[in-house]
Amino acid sequence: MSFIEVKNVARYFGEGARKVVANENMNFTIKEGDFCVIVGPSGAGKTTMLNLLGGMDRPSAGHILIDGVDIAEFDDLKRTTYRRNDIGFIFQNYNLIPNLTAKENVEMAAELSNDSLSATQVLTAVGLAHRLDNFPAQLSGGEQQRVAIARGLVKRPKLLLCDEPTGALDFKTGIRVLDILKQANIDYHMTVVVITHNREIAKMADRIIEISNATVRNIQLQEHPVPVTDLSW
Amino acid sequence: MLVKRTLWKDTFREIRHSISRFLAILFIILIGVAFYVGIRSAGPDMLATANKYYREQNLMDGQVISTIGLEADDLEAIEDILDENGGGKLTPQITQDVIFEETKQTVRLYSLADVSSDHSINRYHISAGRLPQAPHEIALDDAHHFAAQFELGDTITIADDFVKATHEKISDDKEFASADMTQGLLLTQHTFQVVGFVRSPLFIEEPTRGNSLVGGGKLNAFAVILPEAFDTKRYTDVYFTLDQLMHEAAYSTSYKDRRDDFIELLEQKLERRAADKQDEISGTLEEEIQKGEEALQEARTELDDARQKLIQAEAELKDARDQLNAGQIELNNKRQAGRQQLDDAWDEWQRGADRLEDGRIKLQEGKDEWNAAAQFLEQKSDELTQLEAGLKAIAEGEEALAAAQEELAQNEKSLNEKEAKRPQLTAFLKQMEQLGVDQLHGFTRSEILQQLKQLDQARQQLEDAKQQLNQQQAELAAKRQALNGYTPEQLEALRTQLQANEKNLAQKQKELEAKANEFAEQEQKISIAKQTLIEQSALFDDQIAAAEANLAAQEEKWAAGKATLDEQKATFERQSIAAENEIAENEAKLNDAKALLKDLPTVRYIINDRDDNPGYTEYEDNAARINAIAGVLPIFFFFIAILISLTTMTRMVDEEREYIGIMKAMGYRRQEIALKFIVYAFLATTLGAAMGLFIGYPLFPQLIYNSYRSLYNLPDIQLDTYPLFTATALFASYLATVFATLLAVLHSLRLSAAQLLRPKAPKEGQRILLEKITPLWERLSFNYKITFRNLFRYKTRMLMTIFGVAGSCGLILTGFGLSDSVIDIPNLQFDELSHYQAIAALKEADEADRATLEHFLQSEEAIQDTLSITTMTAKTEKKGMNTQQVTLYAVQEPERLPAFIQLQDSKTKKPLPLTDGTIYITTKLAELLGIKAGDTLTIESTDRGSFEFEISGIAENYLGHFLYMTAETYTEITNQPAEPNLKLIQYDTKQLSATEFGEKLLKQPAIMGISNLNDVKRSFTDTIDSLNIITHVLVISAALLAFTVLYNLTNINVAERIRELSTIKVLGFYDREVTAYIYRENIFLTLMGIVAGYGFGYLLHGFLIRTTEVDMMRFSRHISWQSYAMSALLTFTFATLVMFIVHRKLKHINMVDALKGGD
Ligand SMILES: Nc1ncnc2c1ncn2[C@@H]1O[C@H](COP(=O)(O)OP(=O)(O)O)[C@@H](O)[C@H]1O
Ligand SMILES: [Mg+2]
Repeated sequence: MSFIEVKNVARYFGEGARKVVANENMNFTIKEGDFCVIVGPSGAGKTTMLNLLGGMDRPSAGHILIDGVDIAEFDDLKRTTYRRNDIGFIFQNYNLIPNLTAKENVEMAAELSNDSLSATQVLTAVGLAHRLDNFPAQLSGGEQQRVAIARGLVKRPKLLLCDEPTGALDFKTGIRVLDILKQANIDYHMTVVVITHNREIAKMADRIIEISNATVRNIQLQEHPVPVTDLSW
Repeated sequence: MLVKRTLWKDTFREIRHSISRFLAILFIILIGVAFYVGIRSAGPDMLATANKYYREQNLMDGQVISTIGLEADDLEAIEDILDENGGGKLTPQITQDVIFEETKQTVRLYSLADVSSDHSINRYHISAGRLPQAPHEIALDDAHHFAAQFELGDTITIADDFVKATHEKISDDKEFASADMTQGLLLTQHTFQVVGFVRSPLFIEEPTRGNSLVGGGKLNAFAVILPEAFDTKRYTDVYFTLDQLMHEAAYSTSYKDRRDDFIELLEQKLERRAADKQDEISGTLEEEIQKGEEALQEARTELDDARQKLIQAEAELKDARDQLNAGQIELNNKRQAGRQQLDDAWDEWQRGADRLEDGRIKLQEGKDEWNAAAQFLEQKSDELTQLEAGLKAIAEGEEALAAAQEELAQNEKSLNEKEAKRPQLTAFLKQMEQLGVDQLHGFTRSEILQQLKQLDQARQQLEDAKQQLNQQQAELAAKRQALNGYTPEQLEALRTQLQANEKNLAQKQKELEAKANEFAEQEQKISIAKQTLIEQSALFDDQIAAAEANLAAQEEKWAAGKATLDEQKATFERQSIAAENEIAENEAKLNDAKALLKDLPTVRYIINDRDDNPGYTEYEDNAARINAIAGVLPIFFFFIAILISLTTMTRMVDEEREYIGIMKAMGYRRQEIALKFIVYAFLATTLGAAMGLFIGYPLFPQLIYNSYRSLYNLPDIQLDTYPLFTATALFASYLATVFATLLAVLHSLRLSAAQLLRPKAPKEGQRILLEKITPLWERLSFNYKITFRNLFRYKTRMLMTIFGVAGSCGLILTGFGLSDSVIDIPNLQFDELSHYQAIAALKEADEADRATLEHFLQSEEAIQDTLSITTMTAKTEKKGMNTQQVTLYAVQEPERLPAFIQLQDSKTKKPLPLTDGTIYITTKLAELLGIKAGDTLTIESTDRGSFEFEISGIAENYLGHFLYMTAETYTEITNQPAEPNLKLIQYDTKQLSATEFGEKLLKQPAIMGISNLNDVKRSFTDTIDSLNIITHVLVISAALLAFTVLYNLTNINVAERIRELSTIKVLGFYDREVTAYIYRENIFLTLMGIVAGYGFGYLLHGFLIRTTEVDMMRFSRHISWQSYAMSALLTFTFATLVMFIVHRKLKHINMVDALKGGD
């Protein structure tokens, strides 16, 4: 049985003439521990899908089973709890709290869960041991993204969702970030879903879901994904 | 032009897109403007409303009351004074306080002036029904607590004491009426029918009506009746209006100044008049007493005279009685003697009479003998006479017979001749029968027949006469036969003998007659004697009877005299009692008059003006309080409005950074770019201000006024707008927004287009000072670290929030503090400082009245203790301070004072001992005068000159100004004896109600008036109530302020940090955690605001106390901890309410949208 099962999911925005179809007839599964990359052109509906998976939004139709539970049925409170306990988020533009240091940003997430990892430990793990007390404004983009990943990892979610994590980063930094994600996938046996429009990144995935025009075009499983360090764009 | 059109379009689009920001500015301006103009105009509106009402009801400018009533000349005098001062109108009237039988309430009756007159002063406002039109009708005070007990058509009864028919007071006795006004007037009837309910401009305060000298000392209401229902012709007082004040607004300084000038002048003139009148009255009274005394003396003399006369008459009557008794005895003696004499005389007479009787018998015997002889003689004479007569008659008969025989023979011869014609006649007759005629030869048949018959008859007659003559011849012959024997000679002899006998008899008769004469003489004599005797007897009887009658008459006369005297005596007795009563009564009256003269009511003209009406000045005070608040409060709102506009517009400009950059890059000039923001702000401000004016002007004055209406008896508010307030509000509004916008936008415009197009670096996180205190910082929970860091991250917002909350909390604290300040007074003044229940003012009564009063005070069980005081009022003056009235208390037994009045230092609360030489002044006056212990104070008494002395200490006191000293000190300072004229009384209020106490005490002639401390205390409730309105205004303002500030600032906070908030939401923060994340800051700010608010409130409270406190009162400066707690609690409540609103808002944040994109 799959960890994530998306069945006939649709998400529409607006009404009538201004109705926008962001997702429609979406069907795919993701196994536990998968490093899954969802790839597609800009505007294909990737972010929309990710938001649905992360319990930030509700589908207009269909079911999303996480560990057998349909989160599409959840109310706000349950979705919040779901996000709190099971989900780690990483955004393209980091979204750190500017008034908190790197460590504090991670700590804030850690406090949400009972069996969180140590903030310092996680930050050390992402290579920021020397940056613990810096404010986001004092960090580079890559460093900020690594703080964001640490924040996502610290509460040990079942599912780590990353929306264009490298979108705002240069190649080198991007690789570094992807490496950390892959490492987390392995180290914590964490299911990771990465969204990207960059097909190159898809190569490192166990599972590639191609999306275009609001629906799944192709699902591809890779027995032997390419190591991160071998990627280049 | 194109630019402009695009600009407008852009602006409107901007408004549409950021409607909540637009509204935020609009509302803060709306609130600011509404608040400012509303509260600012409330005070003036209140005064204008009252002024209009006063004008409509033609409220008096003043009133003159005379202690002895007013007469036409008084009115003229006052009118003259008015005329000398620009003219004015008068409305004289009659007032009297009475008690309503049913409700036992003290009510002041006013006579209704001519309502039809345009000039009638203090016109009543009819709430229901109508004014009285007949003497039995009454219109009642519409004050709710009073009017609720009655309905139209009800009958009310006046207590007996005030009605003429049932009261002995001689009010129609005009003799001393001049002094009677102070004693009270009477009504002509008992019951009145309620025909209406009215309000009077004299009593604008709903519950208070002032004091009274009847009943329990407190006036409950007023009522209106016709003057006819009063049993007097005099007026008690007169209202006046001044033409020169006609156009001066009530409460304006120019009104007061001009009024006071006039009153001062009037006072001077009437004082002189009073003195004249006093002399006049005491003069007439003296004269009346003189006259009365004379009349009394006269009456006494008269009575004595009458008594004297009566005594004299009694003596005379007694003399008459004695005389009468003597007369009676004399008469009795006389009667006895007289009767004896008469009896003797009668005896003598009886003997004479007996002798006479014997004589009478002898004489009768002689008479009888003679009579028998005379009778025999007469018989013989008669026989002889008869014989002589018979002889003569025969001779005469024979002669007559011879004559008759001759005549017959002649008649026979004539008849025979006639008989010769018979055959012829018979022949004729036969012829006629043969011929059958009736006439022949000139003879008629019947004539012939007649002649024949006559012949027959004549024959017959002749035959009859022959017969008769024969008969007579026979008779004569018979008679001759009868006289057979006697011859005439014989008859002669007989006659002679008879005559001799007759002569003898005549002799005898003469003898007898002589004897009879003698006897008759005797008889005559005796009869005369009898007659004389009878006469004498009768005379005697008459004499006695006359004497008796005389005596009886005299007796009767005496009896009558006695009866008259008795009657006179009885009458006198009766009359003398009446007369004595009258004398006693007159004497009493005279004594009264003398007493009256001794303490003749001082003729005094008391002048009241509007300020003396209950509630009149307090209403002004209330308006002034609102004004004081209006001077402070709206400033906050404007300040907040400026700050909020500034942040909001800064935020807008920040958000439009890119737009400004693009515009700049495109080559627009600064002012063109700035125009959009200015137009935006201008529109929001204009709309907000317009609505604010529209709402504020009517809303706040009405809210405030209507709160006061439960305390005042006034018509609906007179709303007005004030250009100055409008202008100020608009100026401040545009300053707040447009100027703030300019500031914000100019800052951005100074940057280059390139700078602007680069996104503004997010505000860097930075460490705060607190983190330096590592041990503390480490201890803080994570959430608090964030909170504290955030607090200092947005400094302006922090300051604004603190400022707003502090303002709100401070206002609430001020509000509650104001209540504290007055709520404390009754307790401090009447429970802690004063330990007596009533004050009684004493008249300058005489010793007897005083003694009665002392006795009453001693014997009345409920009265526990009293203390005598000599009081005097005086003035103190200082530059820049209103003249203050100070009451001087000279205490008779200073060692007992602490049981009645606690003198303690106002700061240290240490007791101040009152000994000879110490003088204490009360707190408020010391404050006003700025004096302390050891300073010298000068006071000026109304009639005893001015005095200077050293102050020994300052005594705590909250109501009025007092000076305390001992009676001895008083005498030393004033050189006058300390006559007690006031009594402080302690009585058991459980045993005796204030009303009962008042009734009892006011019956005492020595009592002038009383005042129950409880009433005074209760009147504070009104003040507290009116200050509660201020509290409400302040609390409501505070709530508005708190909401506006917290809501707006939180909104801006949320908007600025929407990404941050969305992030934590995504991270799995529950809704309340999200709210707490942002609101924890607010709570800290609120806490800081409250602390700051305490300081601010304390200062504002102090300021308001100083401005709203009246000179005669010292409000407590103390704010209770409850008020501190309450203001914190309320502020927190407001903050919490805002939190709930923000919570709802945060719940619906769309985190997906917020996090989208890379901006
Ligand atoms: N909240 C929204 N309202 C309206 N349309 C939206 C919304 N979110 C996404 N869309 C639309 O749905 C489509 C898919 O968007 P998205 O999932 O962000 O694409 P991708 O992440 O693949 O670039 C786009 O055309 C986008 O315009
Ligand atoms: Mg996307």
